Amino acid sequence: MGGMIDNLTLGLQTALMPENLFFCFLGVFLGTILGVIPGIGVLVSISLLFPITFHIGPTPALVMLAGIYYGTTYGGSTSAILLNVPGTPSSAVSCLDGHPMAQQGRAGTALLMTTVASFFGGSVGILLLTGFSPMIAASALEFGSVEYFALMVLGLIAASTIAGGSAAKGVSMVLFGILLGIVGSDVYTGQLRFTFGQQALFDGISVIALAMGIFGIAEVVSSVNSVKTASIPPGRITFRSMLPSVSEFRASVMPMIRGSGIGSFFGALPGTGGLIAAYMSYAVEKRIGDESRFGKGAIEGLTGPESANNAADQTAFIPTLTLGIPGSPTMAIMLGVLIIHGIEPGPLVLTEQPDLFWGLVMSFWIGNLMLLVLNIPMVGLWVRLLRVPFQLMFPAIVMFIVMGVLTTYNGSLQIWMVLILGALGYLMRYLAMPAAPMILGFVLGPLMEEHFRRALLLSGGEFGTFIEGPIAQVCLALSAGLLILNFVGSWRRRAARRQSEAGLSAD
Amino acid sequence: MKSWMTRDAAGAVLVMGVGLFACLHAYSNYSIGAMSSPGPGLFPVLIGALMVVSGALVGVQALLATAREKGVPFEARPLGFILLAIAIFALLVETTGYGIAVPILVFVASFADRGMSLKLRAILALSLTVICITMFKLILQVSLPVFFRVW
Repeated sequence: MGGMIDNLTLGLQTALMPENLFFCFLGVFLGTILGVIPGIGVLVSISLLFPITFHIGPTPALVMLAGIYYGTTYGGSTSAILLNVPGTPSSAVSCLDGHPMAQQGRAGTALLMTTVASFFGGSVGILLLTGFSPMIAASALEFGSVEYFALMVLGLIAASTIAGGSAAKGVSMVLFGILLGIVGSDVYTGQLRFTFGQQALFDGISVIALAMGIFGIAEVVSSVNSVKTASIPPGRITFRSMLPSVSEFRASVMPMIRGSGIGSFFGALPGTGGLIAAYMSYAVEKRIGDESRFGKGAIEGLTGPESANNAADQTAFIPTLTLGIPGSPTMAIMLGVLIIHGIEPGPLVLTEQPDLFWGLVMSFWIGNLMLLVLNIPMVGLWVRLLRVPFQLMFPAIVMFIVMGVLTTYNGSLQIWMVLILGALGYLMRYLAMPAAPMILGFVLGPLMEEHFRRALLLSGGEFGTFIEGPIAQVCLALSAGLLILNFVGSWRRRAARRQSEAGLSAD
Repeated sequence: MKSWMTRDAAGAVLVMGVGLFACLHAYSNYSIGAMSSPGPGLFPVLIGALMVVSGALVGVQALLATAREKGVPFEARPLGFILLAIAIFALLVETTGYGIAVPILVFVASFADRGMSLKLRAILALSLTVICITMFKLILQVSLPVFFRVW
């Protein structure tokens, strides 16, 4: 256990360095603001602020991006409660009981308890991250290319099937992402692939241009007409009105504990994450509690899911940091930052860059603490921010996207890239093809190809090598199982729909 | 009479098209190599082929679908003005500097929304330019020219 204490001390020292503290604060502060504003989710926020990370070291860069990430989850629930519009998708569940509470004049209590529940969930997630990461990383040290390839297949399949929707679409988009990821020169031979003589493509498509295009631009385009400035329930939010009654507090304790458990589990799985965790927690609370109270301002319907989505935010870092396999698009972007800074993601990060890993983990505590302190006195500011119409907001977002790219690359070449990828991203969105699997495929594509070719080289060209060893077999079997489940599920739904339609026409 | 060309079917055609192109392009331009020493062409050929298969599955699902999914409307106006604004910015910025390209970007992009007066659009463009110059030039001290090559 002595090793763990050394690790935590090192982490705390790193996290408390003025530079890291500053970027942690900047991250959670900007994250909360962007999270509060509907129409800007965590991906847009991260891609907007991504260019800054080029000018700082990898540790403060990750600390800041992570702060934005969990900061948006905190901020997202504020607009869910006050406006009934989730500021970020994962806070959609908070609308169900949070907004009724606000309508009953209990907005203050809802906001305070959300913050407390978020902090509690986040803390549980960090503890699990601290406890499990070294073990997972240690066992992953023995993984070879075959195991990594199988793990990546599992990660990508899980990400494209679990979140719902058609597996065929998800897998198509993963493959499209992989193709975009291998544009540029080949690692082994230096051969230029899919560059078509365009200089902008020689170094490959940058993860920034892709994220800003398919998330930033496409998101803004589809939000301009759909985000409306809603009216905020009247009544000033005073500190007194925030304090929950004893019974409200007592009713929240068990939901928070259950929610944190659910969230921690789903956060660590690839493809799930905050939204699914929050829904699960809501469903569990509804089953355990008095069902008739839900949807009418039941505090346990708010605190459970809020603990769940914040716990999930933290445990999502487990596969990303220990295996180098991101479970969500946000984690894929984090991995992209590591790669840009020349750090090979995987179990070695823990042993070779302990200050980065433990510094990041300890910064989560500091960040969550800052959020706890930030959120309560600043509610008034968030409320004012919510009154700014989106029509004034979106040109600013476009400006920051473009200026971010310009200052990163010192030229307009990459701005054209963003424009093309933005158009592609919007087309995909219009055709209801999911964009999230695409960025996962994009980041993992080059790594997958490397492992694929290395495995073939080592085995002397035997394709059978990919199903050797228990880890690869389990991963591939799980992937196949997920695909089959998804196809059976969609076939059943279709059959059920046909039956109900037949029933309707018979009437 | 409903057309078979639903959005899902269009998506399927797009995915299959990209996959087929990637597969053929990689096959004819990059070396596949032997299985024991794979070349730069092998992986893209496989990925392209898989895309054709998964795209075909999307297509089958689209053709079998009985109820038409209601999709989001096509936002032609926001898409057009925002892309136009970015294109103008990209054309201008290297000669005029961002002090001139930013207000034009914001002004053009603001037309994505119908409900603003010209005066409001102009005020928005100017105030965002001030914020932009303050942030990038004065605070972050980015060494890109603001006005032509003079400042």
